[in-house]
Amino acid sequence: MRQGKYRFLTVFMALPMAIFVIFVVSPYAQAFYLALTDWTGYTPTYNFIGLQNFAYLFGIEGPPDRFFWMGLRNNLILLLIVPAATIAIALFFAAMLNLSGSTKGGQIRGVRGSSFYRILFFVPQVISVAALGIMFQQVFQPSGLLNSMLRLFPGADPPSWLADPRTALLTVIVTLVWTNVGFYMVYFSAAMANIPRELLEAAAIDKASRWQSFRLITFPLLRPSLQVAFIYLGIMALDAFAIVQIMTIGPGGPNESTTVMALSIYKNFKEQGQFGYATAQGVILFFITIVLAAFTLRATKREEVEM
Amino acid sequence: MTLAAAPPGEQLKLSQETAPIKVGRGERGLTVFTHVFLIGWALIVAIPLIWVLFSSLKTDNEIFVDSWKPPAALQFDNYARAWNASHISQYFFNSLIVVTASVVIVMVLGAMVAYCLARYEFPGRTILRYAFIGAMAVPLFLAIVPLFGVVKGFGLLNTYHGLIAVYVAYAMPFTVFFLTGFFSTLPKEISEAAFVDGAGHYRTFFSVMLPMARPGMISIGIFNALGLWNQYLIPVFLVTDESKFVVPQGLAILAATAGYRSDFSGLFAGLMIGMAPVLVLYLIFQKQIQSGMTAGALK
Repeated sequence: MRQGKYRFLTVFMALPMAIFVIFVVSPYAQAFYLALTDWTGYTPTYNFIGLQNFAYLFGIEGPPDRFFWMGLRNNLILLLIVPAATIAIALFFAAMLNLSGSTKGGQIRGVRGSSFYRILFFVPQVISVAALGIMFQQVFQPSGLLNSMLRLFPGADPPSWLADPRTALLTVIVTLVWTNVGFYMVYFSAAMANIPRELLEAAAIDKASRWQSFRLITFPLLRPSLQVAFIYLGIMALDAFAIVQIMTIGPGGPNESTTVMALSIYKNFKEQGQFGYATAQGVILFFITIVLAAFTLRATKREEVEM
Repeated sequence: MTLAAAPPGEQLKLSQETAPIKVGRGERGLTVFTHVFLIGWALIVAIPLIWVLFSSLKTDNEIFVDSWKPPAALQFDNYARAWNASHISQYFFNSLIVVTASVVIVMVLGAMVAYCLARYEFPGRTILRYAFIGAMAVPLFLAIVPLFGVVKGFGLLNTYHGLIAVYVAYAMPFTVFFLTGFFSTLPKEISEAAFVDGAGHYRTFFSVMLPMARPGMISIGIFNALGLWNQYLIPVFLVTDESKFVVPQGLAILAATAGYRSDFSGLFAGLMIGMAPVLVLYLIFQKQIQSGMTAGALK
């Protein structure tokens, strides 16, 4: 019955595996070596230069690479604000949509029109980041949508959001939160729907208020989903490439106030042709991402034990 | 670092959570409170999108003076200009070719690999599974510059098949992961029966198992179509020839040059053209897309 199994497996897997190994596995593997070379991408040969790219990056001989470190700084700001804000808002709406309707026939219902909200809030997630970046670039223009609405209020003197170093990063944060809230709202809603009804029924019999049953039942049971959301949004906050590259002045400006590590990689690749150096920055971004993921997993695991 | 949000293949339930509860006081207040916030966020989401639609039908002057106002007269020629003069038609055509081919190929190849992984024992199976999961977790920025070298080495820069190969390669891990879950849930008796009836490995796959995996294939197909249509990072690094640009990349160029050409109405029309296909797809398949993406993107 299982004659020719290995022949069959070879026929089925050879091509897909070849594509996967050539275009996915090999670039990842090469990255760690190319980061140690002076590869420019335009000459066929390159030299092994050891840790020189990293020395340059860290400013061991000469000033450190300001653009990259400003990028790291901004990435860390995004990392502190964007996941927390996105998750807080998304969780709030998920709870509202699912738990806050009227209690018809003794049942907590989703709020009226919840399916409409679910469809609308999710829309940003299906549009390309490129299109959203352009949309918000126009919204935040001096004479764009936001300022033209603000000027309806007498005496308002709105800033030019993207041109002012004090507000530019804020526009990036707002855009990222706006883009992601709907997705996580749907995600948390799905997780809430998986909570056994008996638990909420038991809480209701014990005369728990809605807030109590959310705090003591729904929220703890959502912990794994929150953990996933934190890691995923954290990875996104360490990237943020498309929004920054398309939306901000420069891009990355003004005065490097919005640049991110990924933009530094892109600029060294595209504008300077320093492929080896750009790859070295990719290696650093990779290690920061791994540390973040490990840290989040550990931190949330400990909380679970305490519970 | 596998972050499976839900077992692949299992549709996330999006049903409303219901539970009996005593009718509490202040319920009305809660409902009003809820609606104020929900309507508030609905406006925050919808207004910028409606504004893009309005702006795409305005004159340039109307866009700059009192930008919040709806268009006085509908300027449909903005669309004609974006489609022809701004080369959106070319980008659209490029995206269509690359995305269609990539989705079809990755579904076929992904299903083949997933089937082997799900239903056959062979040495190296576990390593392969971990390789796919690992590939989903590692940031693309580590690989993107070396990937340029690989694609260049094959002489595939600025070609359709080069971009298709890369799209297929990067869509493969999740496709395999998702479909492996799907194939392993199919009952074993059916493939046994097919073998007993004299069907070979190939026949069993193509005439029995593949048709049964149809719901999973549709979910992952829509997911890949959306994701690849919106892909920005890969083409920005790999495609330098403007005649081969895909839609998101073309829009970014349009935005960067809208100032010099002082054609902002054309830019907004281009944005609408770029967003329309995914919005239409989303409105038709919104349930599957929401459940597929929440199960999927959080791999």
